[in-house]
Amino acid sequence: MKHRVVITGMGVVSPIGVTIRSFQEAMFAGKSGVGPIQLFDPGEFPCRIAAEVKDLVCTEFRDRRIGFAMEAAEQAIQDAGLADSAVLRSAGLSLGIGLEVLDLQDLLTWSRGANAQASRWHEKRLTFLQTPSDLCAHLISHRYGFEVPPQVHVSACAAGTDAIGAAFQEIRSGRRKVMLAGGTDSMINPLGVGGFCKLRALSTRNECPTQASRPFDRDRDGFVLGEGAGLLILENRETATARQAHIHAEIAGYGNSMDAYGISEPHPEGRGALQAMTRALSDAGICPEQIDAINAHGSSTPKNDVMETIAIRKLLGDRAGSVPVVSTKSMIGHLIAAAGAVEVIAATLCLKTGHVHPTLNLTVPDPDCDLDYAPGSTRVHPQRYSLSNSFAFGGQNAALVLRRKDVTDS
Amino acid sequence: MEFGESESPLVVTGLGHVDQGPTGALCDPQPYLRNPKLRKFMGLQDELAIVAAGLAVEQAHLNDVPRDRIGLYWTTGYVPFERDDLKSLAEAATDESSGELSMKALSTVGYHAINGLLTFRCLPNMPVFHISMNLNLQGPYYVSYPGPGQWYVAFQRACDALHSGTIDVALIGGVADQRNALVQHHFSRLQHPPAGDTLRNAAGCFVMERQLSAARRDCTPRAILDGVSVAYRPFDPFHTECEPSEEFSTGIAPEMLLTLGPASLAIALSQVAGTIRGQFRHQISTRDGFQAESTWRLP
Repeated sequence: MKHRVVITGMGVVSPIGVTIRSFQEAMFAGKSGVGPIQLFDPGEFPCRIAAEVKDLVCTEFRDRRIGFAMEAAEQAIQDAGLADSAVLRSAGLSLGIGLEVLDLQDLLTWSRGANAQASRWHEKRLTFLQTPSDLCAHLISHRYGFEVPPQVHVSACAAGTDAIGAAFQEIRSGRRKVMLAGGTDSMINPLGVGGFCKLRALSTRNECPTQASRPFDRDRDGFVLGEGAGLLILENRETATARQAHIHAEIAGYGNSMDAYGISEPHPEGRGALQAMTRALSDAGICPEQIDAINAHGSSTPKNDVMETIAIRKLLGDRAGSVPVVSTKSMIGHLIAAAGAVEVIAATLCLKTGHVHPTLNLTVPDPDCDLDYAPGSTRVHPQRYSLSNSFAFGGQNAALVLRRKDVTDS
Repeated sequence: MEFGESESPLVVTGLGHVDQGPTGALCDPQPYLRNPKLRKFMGLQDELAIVAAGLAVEQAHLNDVPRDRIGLYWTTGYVPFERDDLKSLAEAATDESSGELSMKALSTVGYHAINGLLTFRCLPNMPVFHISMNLNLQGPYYVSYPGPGQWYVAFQRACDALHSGTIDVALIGGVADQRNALVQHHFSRLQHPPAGDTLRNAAGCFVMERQLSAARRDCTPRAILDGVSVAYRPFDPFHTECEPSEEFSTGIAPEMLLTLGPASLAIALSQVAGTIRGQFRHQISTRDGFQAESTWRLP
């Protein structure tokens, strides 16, 4: 038997808002979270801009990824009305998280032969030089008493979406009733920014940061690094209904695929992206004609945006030009392992409210990107089903289908 | 998880592993590379992974299986970095005259001196890229991190996908590049660290499918899965550490225990399949709170 899976709680830490309410307001207002890098001195790096989280003080943990995830998890649990509940203790965690980046000052200390081994403070030892990414999952599991084996997803830019997809499958199969799922990441640090600069992946539009993330625009020149976390409470619909939980939306299907093509470039015909979307639709038991909106990966990189456009055209056929395809990254930049999770939250808010948020900075469309990317401002657009895409550096592609909570077909 | 009689049992039809042992024996991925130009992007973990996966796929004779019906379930061990590479990063960020951290130095001269390929070579999802690209796998994937506990979770997901018919074949494996400065730094800060010289660079992978599908392809099962279970006890990693242990029922040298990271079970199966018969059990408690067990029949 397949169980239906609903979203009953959401928590977000993003460059445009650190609560669901502030995130939603900023998103529908078309606010950009991109600005000059403040977290460190970027010196003369080609890219000196990023979308930083500004309104949250993360002092409890040295690793910002952990602070973001803890905050988003608490928000999601509170939103679901599960704080201190027995239901919560039966939950599992599925977390997408990014690469553990070296701390530069620690690296210098280490290279001179010193380290934190002698510290009696275990936390100091475990975070010296770099913090193992899986620690975040154990800290969350411990805080809430989750006795289910946590899942740690490291499929790079698709990790947040994969984490939600895997949690969805756990509940749908009947193995779990409740899961906390999503992603967290921050690579806005010297070696993170330096590494992406070295790959020439980042926008260098330093003089006008709010215009730097411009998915599908002819003049896009790379992505903008963002940071943050998105966590959701997913629940078996019967359990949620029985406890009279507020349901935001339903997750109806999930699919992922491997490009098996290029190390840093997607398959030019969008083969893997199309496979992931097709599998998600098939998993949801719906056809492409039922998709009313798409939250694109939309990274603002020259090759990805064209590839995604081609894949969506193949998926939707004649309807492709009439289905809004939006990029949340135009506002918040690329949150890497957290991107998919925060974008699922954006897509859920759009589905719930019957709107689509704008894709910012789309002033001169790329002739090879010829879909309706909803430029300008938020528009009213009721949806029954929407799709959220994430495509990773390294050829991992993931997609989720969302269903409005009152839609009863299938 | 116990499998009911109504479900076709899951069987292993191909096994592959590479274990560099304490001396760091050579590992040559060349025979498995579809595009040798991509070799420069590969770190040791990628090379180990592609060799283990390539051997497993060869043994299972998967040529006629549609590539979009093959899933990859993979666990990559702790991020590796060689001492010289770490030192070069530190030098790139140091002001020559003051010897202090300098963003100006890093963002100008240092930035240009850094080897851009380092990023590719340490990313945990890169073994999955190289395996999928070189073996042309286009099915679903699951990529986890960093140890045998997470490997067991991935293994369980692969079993689910096979039972549900989402895929026909699963490649299940793990890789650990551990004899390097960064991983040894990580282990050295634990309360109960393994001795640095016992850690191995290794990868293991096996091909699993439903028995009925293996029979249709005339493929001989090398092991039959009887059951797998994974449990977890939450803990605060900043204040406590779980005591690790590992046990194989038979056929495995004791010095291998707990030295192979997420490659552990696949390597053990590789070693015992075809050499012993009967029941085989693997049981592990990990530093990160997992207790996992699998039981097998070896025909």
